[in-house]
Amino acid sequence: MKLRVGNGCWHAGHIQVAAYCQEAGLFTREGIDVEVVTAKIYVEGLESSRPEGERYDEVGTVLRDMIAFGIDIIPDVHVRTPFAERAMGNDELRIIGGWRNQFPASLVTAPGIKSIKELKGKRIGDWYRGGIATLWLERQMRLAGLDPDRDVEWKIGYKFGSMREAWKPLQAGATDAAIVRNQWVPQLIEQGFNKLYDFVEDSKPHGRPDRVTVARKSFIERNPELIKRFWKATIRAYHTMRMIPESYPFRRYVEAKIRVDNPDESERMRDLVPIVMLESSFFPLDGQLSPEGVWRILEEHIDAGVLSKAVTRKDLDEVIRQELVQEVWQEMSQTEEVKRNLERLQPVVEKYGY
Amino acid sequence: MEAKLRVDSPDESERMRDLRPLSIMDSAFHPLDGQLTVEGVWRILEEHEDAGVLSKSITRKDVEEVVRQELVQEAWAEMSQTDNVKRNLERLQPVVERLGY
Repeated sequence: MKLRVGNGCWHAGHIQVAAYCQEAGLFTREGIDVEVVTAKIYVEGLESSRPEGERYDEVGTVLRDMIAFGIDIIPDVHVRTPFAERAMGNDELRIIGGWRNQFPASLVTAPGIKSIKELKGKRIGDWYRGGIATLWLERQMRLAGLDPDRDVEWKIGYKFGSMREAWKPLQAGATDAAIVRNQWVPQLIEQGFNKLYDFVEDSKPHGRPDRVTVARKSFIERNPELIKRFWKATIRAYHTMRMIPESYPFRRYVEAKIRVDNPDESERMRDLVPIVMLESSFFPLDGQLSPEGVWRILEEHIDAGVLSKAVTRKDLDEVIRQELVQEVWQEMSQTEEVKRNLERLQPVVEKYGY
Repeated sequence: MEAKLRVDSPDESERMRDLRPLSIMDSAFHPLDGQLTVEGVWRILEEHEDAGVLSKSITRKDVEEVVRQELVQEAWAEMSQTDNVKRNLERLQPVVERLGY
């Protein structure tokens, strides 16, 4: 049987771990045949990265497209999606483990802007409308008494709002605020820019698992062994991918490969991820996420009105099903190989977290 | 492709270096007809002879013996008549004008 893994939106980077496992032979080592499928789920979402495009909203498309395109596991679904689907009566998606456990970025504003309220009339860099960053920014603005649709100007596009690139237009004066990857924040602060919010510091100790790995309930029931093997390979990748510089050439090769056929020009043509970002990759070394971290994000969404108030803490126990990845980790963490990995990664964990 | 072939190089600087930037790619030095000029080769050999790193017994005649491009010329004579290659050359015309053949 072939396991099909695909990204939950058009972003090529979201299948990098699966592609890494495939290219490094980690799936083969576990005796599973995996096909990595790119940009089949909600590919229309890429229009949200155009200034005139529709708002991104994958709710209602993920489950539909998983069935339509035969995708078994998606590593990068918005954490809101399975709960929103469930609230609408489609109780099929289950969170089977972690993928992005940290949002390694900060909200940075131009010199002179020292609060969210002062963003009135200013230009906000955002990659695509309706994404995780948008939802967070809109809520913060509303809390500060601003109308995000009328009181600010949104500069939309990869170069304005991706965590990695957003510092450039901010520094050049083309935007007044953006969420910037933490590697570039110190230099901006030195130049007089302001850090208003640090997602890593303010999410401790639970992290911010805003994109999660999902499978369908029925698939999990039928294929627990397959999922366990998927996790063994994935956890090995989570480890070696954060071992820098050793894994740099291979990671770069895998990234280049998965970008080749992406339907979005900015995904195909962008510079590859620089080496300075790689060991801070947000993959959890035990493959798991914190339900408390999930709940904190869901509370924000409920408060912002983008998730039904009918969703409660109790829903987490139903939707988050980490038994299989926990079983795998219990076994793997006792092996000499993983003990060596964790020893090697200790300085990385101290610097960036688990 | 460059990222792939650097992965397993035994030399660290080959594995770890930055990949070539987009800005230098259309000036890549590969000849569009697969060929070189005998005159170009001879000029380099003259430099080497003059520098003492190649025997002075090497003459222009040796170049004519050693450079054997009949097969690549035959391949090019055939390929250059195809629509595919004609389209390629048309696409590459601005590159050729700017950077050479």
